[in-house]
Amino acid sequence: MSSHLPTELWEIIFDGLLGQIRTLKACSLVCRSWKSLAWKRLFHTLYLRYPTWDQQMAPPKTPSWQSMWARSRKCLSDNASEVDEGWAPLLLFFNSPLQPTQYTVRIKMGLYLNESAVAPSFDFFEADSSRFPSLREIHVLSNNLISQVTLLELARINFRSFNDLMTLLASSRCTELIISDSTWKSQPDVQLSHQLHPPPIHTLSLARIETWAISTLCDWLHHFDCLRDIRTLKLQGRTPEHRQGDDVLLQRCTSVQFLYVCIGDTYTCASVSSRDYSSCFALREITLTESCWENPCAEILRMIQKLARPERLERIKLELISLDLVDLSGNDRESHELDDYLFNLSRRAFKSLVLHTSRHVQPVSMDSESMVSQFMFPKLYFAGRLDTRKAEPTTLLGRGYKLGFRKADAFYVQGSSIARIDLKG
Amino acid sequence: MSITIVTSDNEQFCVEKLVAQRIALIEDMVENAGDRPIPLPNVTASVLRKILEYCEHHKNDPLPPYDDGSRSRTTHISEWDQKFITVDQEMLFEIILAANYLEMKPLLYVRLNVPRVQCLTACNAVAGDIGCKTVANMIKGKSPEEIRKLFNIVNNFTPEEEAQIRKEAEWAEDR
Repeated sequence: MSSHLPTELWEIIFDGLLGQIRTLKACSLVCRSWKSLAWKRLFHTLYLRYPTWDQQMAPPKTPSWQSMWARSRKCLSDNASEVDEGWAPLLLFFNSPLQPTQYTVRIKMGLYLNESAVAPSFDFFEADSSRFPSLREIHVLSNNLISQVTLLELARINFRSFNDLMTLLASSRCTELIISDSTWKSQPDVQLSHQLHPPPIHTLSLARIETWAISTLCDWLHHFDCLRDIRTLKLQGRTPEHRQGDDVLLQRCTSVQFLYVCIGDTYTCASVSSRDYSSCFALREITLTESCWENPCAEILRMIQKLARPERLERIKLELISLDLVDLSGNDRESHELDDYLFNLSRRAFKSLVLHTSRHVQPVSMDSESMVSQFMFPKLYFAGRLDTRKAEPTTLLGRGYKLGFRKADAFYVQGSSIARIDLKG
Repeated sequence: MSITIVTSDNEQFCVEKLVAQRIALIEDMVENAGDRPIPLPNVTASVLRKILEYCEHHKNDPLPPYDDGSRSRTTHISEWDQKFITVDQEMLFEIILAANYLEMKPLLYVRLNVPRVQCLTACNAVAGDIGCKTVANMIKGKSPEEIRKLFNIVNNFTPEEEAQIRKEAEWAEDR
């Protein structure tokens, strides 16, 4: 370090320059050690603002959030021709080899949503990432953010209280709610839950959260007669204790028509049939995803047999990870039993068994998929009830905004806004 | 009652205990030293003389508010302190280094007992407030070249690095 003072004393000196942007910029050009001291203060807090386009202006041509969409206030312009150019420089800044964002501790974002606004990807501002290793706080300044959210995805959030979640949901018009691995420091205030009206949720996925929280959410929805609006349920519990939560959902959401079950490994596959499907009166479609193919046909058959009304089932979708393990000898008894059962159901409402090829595997030829179908499910195949197709990415239906947060230590809700998100340290 | 302090260049200072105790390190050593002189091997006589001058002037200052470790962002310095710290750059840096050495672990002591707040804050004032603020004030408004010249710093950037830093710095807003 220059001029005979240890770094810790230069840190104190530079603290005296906080807010002196021009001086800090000059300091960053003095020498390498001063650059670090200056940048630590220059880029400690980043101010980002999303643009407000006029309706007639085309949004930037970014197919997905692989590129940065926010611009600093300095670069905002009313000139329409500059809109497209605004994003790339900030991405260049974020990805600079000198890594200025390594010093960023806080991001303040102004989000002013309109028809053209697109948010950054789910993990763009992730703490401890290579881009933001020091990031600890995100402040969201928005007048109408939550009220326009239709898909809310919250992963690894530690809420201060269950009330915060209810307030957040009640402020949104969330139709799809996905919460996983989240906690609450305190249980809900029943009085408050009777005052806040829940949003019109029709798709629900609550994975790896405490059973009481699932029950409480169901109680809240039930109080306003909103449980029957839930048409799609996604089950992702992989351990016995979390499967209790899945059972609560299955028992309470009796209007569910579409059920997604994440099978995972052999152990969780074996639990598919152990869940309580006796209240799923309206089930029409089951999707089994991420299965490692060790022939779960027996489990699926037991599962269907436990449905309250299997005769109403219209479709089963299976996502195949690997075709290598499939028995092509034509002697697979378990798949043939399932084939028989589904073929019989096809005389009622059952329309098709859909075999997806997972996006995670090497492409397989249509011939091999066809062979699998023919050998494993011969009756359905020849009856034209088998469908093989590539898995399609999940798409958002309808209009609205998707909002997702991951890994937050505290999630502060004020009115209809997210006031602050503290990221995990 | 007075105590004797011996500096690194072997000069002895007979200091009123009330004044000396405003320096945390010395207060620690007084209890163990008994009547023996207290050695300060990292502080020269000229620097200690300045620090004692500061302690003498501030010995009756009221108890400051609780120090939570955060530093004041203002770079204002009182008139007497300004005069006190008007020294050449070498002496300024020596005062900062000495004050830092005498301060030791300020936050730890601040939390343990109240009387030390006075002592440590006196040191803090020299090291953190006056010395460091003075250096910060010297830097303010200067160009990179002027700063290098002021502190005799060698520019170790390549021209490409310098250009890149200028480019990135544009993203820091002038608010």
